[in-house]
Amino acid sequence: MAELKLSEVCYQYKNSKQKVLKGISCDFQGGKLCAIVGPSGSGKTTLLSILAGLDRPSEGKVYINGDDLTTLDLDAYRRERVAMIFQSFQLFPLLTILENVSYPMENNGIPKKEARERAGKLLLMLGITEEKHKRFPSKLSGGEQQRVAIARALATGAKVLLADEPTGNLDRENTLHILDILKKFAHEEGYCVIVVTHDQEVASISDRVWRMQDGILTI
Amino acid sequence: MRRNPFLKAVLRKPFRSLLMLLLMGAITYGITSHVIEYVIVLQMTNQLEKYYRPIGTLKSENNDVTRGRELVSRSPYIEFEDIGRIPQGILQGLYNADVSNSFNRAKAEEIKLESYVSDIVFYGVLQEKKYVVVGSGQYHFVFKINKMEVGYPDYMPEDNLIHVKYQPETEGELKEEYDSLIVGEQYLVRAYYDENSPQSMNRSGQIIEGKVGKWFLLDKLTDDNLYFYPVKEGDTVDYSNRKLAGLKEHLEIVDQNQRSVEVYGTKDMSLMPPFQESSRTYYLVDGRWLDREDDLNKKNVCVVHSFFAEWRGLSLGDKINIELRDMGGGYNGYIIPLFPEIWDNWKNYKTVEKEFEIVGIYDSVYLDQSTARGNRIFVPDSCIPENFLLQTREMIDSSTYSFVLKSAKDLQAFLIENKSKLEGMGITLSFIDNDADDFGIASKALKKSTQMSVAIFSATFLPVMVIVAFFYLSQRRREFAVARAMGISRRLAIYQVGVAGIWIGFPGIIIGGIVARYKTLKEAKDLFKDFVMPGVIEYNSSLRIFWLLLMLLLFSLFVILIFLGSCYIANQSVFDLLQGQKLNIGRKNMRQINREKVDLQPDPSIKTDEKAEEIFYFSDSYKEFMVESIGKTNASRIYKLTTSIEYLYRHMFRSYGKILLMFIITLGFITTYSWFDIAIEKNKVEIDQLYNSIVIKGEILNEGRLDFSKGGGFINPKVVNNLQDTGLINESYLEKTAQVNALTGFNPHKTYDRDAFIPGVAVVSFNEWNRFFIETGAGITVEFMKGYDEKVFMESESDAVEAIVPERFMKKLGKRWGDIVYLIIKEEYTPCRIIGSYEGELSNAVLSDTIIMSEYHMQQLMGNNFFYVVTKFKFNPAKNKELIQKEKELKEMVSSAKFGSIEPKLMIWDAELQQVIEPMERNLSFLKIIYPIAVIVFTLIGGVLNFLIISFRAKEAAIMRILGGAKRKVRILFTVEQGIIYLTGMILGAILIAMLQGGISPNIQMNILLYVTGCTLGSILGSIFVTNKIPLELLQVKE
Repeated sequence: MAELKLSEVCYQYKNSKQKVLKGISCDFQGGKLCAIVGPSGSGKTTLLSILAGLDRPSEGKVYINGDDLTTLDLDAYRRERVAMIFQSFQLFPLLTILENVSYPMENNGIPKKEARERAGKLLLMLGITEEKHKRFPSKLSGGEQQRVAIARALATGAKVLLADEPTGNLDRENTLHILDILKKFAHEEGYCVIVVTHDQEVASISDRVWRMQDGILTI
Repeated sequence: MRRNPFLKAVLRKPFRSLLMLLLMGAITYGITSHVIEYVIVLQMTNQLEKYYRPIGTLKSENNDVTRGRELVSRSPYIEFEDIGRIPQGILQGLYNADVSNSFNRAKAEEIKLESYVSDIVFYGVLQEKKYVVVGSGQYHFVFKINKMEVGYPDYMPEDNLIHVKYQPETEGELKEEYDSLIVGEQYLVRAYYDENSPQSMNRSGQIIEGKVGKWFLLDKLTDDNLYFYPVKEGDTVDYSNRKLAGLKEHLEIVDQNQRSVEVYGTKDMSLMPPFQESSRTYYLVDGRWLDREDDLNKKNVCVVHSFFAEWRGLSLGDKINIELRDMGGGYNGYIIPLFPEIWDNWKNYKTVEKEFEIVGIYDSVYLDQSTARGNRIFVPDSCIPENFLLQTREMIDSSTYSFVLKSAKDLQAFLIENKSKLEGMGITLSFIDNDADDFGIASKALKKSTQMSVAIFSATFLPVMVIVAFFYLSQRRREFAVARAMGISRRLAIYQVGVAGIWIGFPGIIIGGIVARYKTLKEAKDLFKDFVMPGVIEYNSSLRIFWLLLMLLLFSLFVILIFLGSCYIANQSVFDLLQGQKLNIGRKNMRQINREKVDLQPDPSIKTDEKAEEIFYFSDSYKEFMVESIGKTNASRIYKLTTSIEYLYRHMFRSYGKILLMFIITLGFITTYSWFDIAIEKNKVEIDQLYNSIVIKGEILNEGRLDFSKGGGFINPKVVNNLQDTGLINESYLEKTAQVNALTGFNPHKTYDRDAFIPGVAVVSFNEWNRFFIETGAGITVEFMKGYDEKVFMESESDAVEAIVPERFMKKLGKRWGDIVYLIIKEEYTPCRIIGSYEGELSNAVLSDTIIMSEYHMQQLMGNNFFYVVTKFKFNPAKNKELIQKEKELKEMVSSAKFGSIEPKLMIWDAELQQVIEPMERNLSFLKIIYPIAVIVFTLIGGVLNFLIISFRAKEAAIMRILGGAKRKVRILFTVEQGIIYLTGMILGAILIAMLQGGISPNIQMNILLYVTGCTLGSILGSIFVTNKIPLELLQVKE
């Protein structure tokens, strides 16, 4: 079970005196779907950056399964231990969807043939039929693209999934579909799924909802 | 006014917009400068071709070519005929420069050619009178001038004291008048300038002692032998007085003549035969010749002689007023008694006054020149009233007639059409060599070189423009979709995208265009500097229009690209564009993808039916498989590398449009370097070949009449020796001369006999027999005594001096061939054998009393006491470069070796070299200048393009970073991908060059390296730029 733990995490931009994150301490448990909600400018993106290993906190510590993030290679951390899903999917436009999904695996050293095989299975698992595997992302619907994005996230083997408004571009049916997937991964596979959202429906089905306000995270 | 979001977007991304603007500037500069250069070359060569057209002349024994002209004028090949009209012109407020007059007064009066311009008529108070016993005696008078009635102002002494002398021809002549003169009384006196007096002006018209003309010869005021007419001080004479009959009329004529010039009306002076360099007659000192345009546009411009200009202090741009008089047939423009109708009725001829601007100053190479040489002024024929000198069209004189063919191509046809017919009329047709062939070679080379540069630069720069348009549209794609989503019509959105694009295209095009125009015009002026121009070639006006059209074309092209791109975007789904995912993957790419066989073996338990899209399913085994395997493989670095390479490969081949453009640009740039290299090398070789094949001729000119006492016309032997010592001369034709005191037919012991004694005889020798009869000996025929011919004569080294003497000498001395005559040199008598005689006159007045000797005998007789009269050289073609470099130095060396105040002049007839090689050299230096500029511009373009291409992949970099790609790796990946593109282009370009040139010169290697460095730097900076962006900000949908 993956676990992300934050201890007194503060963040301050260079050349700015004001703290964007003000001593956040919290626990994101594996097996749970957590939602972070909050108004624009409250610090959600900054927190997500730190959780994704794209930035380091100015103060405080972030632990993943007990490992201090500051001691880890952040590139390797992003490659192996954390994955992200975005509202606008962010797939490589010039790679087929199969290549998009196999890319992190190949990048991680898994032989091409094996990576493609697994990518195919992942895509099938997420309901993307084989005939679509050789298509480019632009030829898929939004829901399908998001499922490809989830497949790519899963392909990294990371147990922490960070989702930034994953359903923001989707209709209700697809929203439910995606949420169902994320929930299942959390509940059945023990993934630690953290969803940053404005959507109350998303928040309502989450196991835990955190509120972000002026750099402070509260339940 | 509608708000244009695209424009705002352009302005708010100043860095990128500026880069694109600079690229547009560079593209415009590159294309425009070469196209303009080509157009200028075309314009100039076309215009110059007119100048280099065949110029024909007609000659007949009596100079009347009227019938020939009638025939020729009907020819369809004729562009225009030039029949010179030479009316008299009276300078207004200005005197002519014939201050020394040219004739001996008595001689001139005898043949009625006297113009009396050297007359001075004044009121003078007698200061002194005396009779000097010199020879047969002379009267000397000194007057203080109170007022000049007529006379050049140059004659007026500073102290107003004028010396007048009179040489009586018979005893007692003027004695009565002399005795009656009272010192202190005022008289009206007439005298004339004595060119042979000391303290006067020399033969070239230069005043020896400032503005002083002290010595004059007395002349009678009227035909009644009136020499001095007493006038009380303060009074003036009454010309109606019978004693002074005819004086007033005479003074009027003198005044007219002192301001007279010959105004030569021509349709195109630049095409007049004597003004072609090949005629070795006239040359331009400053400004330009008159041309066809001057005549067609009736421009009141003129070209004057340098002597007149210098003497009267005139220069280019000055204006002179001339009263044109419908009066021809004069002599130097003068009213002379030879033409009684003019002499008596000159006032009755029609006149018209015009103001002319001096646009050119010319000089001639004639040796024997009087001050009257400045009397001819050339003006466009159209400036002379049409009804003036109509008689010149009735009887066409060969000296004033020439014609110009429409094109050099028509020459043969014209000859076939007319030559034999003209010969039947006794008229000789000839064409002037005006270096048309040389011009053809130079213009062809220039045209070819500029054509190539236009082709290469256009092919290279236009793809860059496509890329700029592509970049611009890529940036505007999403904004376009948003605008469309907001309800902005497709048409308006396309319009607004276009308008915003103008902000990048227009300033760039204007800046690049202005720089290119300014720079290219400057270069072109230099390029054509040495062609003999028929006038000021106005290429600016028409070029300005062309330049504007070119700018418009480039701008239109950019707008069309933007428009087509916008239309393409407009055809895409707005939603897809908003999603930011829409990219067209062509059929070609789909085929490529389909070829990639991915061996997928789906779990048979997984549903793949239609409903599968809605169901996700985990099987236990699969879950285990995923959990166990993923992220646990330790792949080797090589494997990771191949993965990256595969990614690059896919990316590159799926965005082939961009890649292909970049590839073409690189290939274009590299081959352009090669073109520069080849062009420069080829030019060098051609120039060297031409340098070694053109024979430049030269000669030393010395103004003034040949005169042993004054040194006029002679050339110092030292200067010839110095010239020959430079090693630049291959061949010389030299005519030497020296003077012996006398030639006599009697031996020294015989009694002096005046009739058998010829004083002051000149001796001439030369080093080429045949050449002599083209030069000084053109007017004589030689006959040798038996056993002699020119070969024997030239090579004879006999002890006895041998000579060819004039027939008249033989008659005077009563000698025959083979007889001995004696040359008296410093009282020494040297026997000389007559081995031949000649009839006719040598071409120089003083040399007419001349005997001809071989060089060997001249040396034996005179040693080093000789001068040169004709010195003509052929320079060593192998040293032409050195000659051009030393030209000024050589000219200074020659002009410093002057006799008295006369400066000899070295003429180097190098127009052929200048007109062929110098434009090519300038073209070469132009290439040499533009080459490094092109290298820098290409390097900058390469850098900027690579930077822009990578900067457009920021989102891709962000995804990679999110997926765990290290910044360094992403940077390397992007840099390598760009590197593969430009390096492939470079390698192919290099192979192409190697195939064409048989290798790659170090110069090209260096330039390629520079270009690759620019591209690499651009790629690295672009990669750093995109990886330094915060990934989440790029990937998130902003709230």
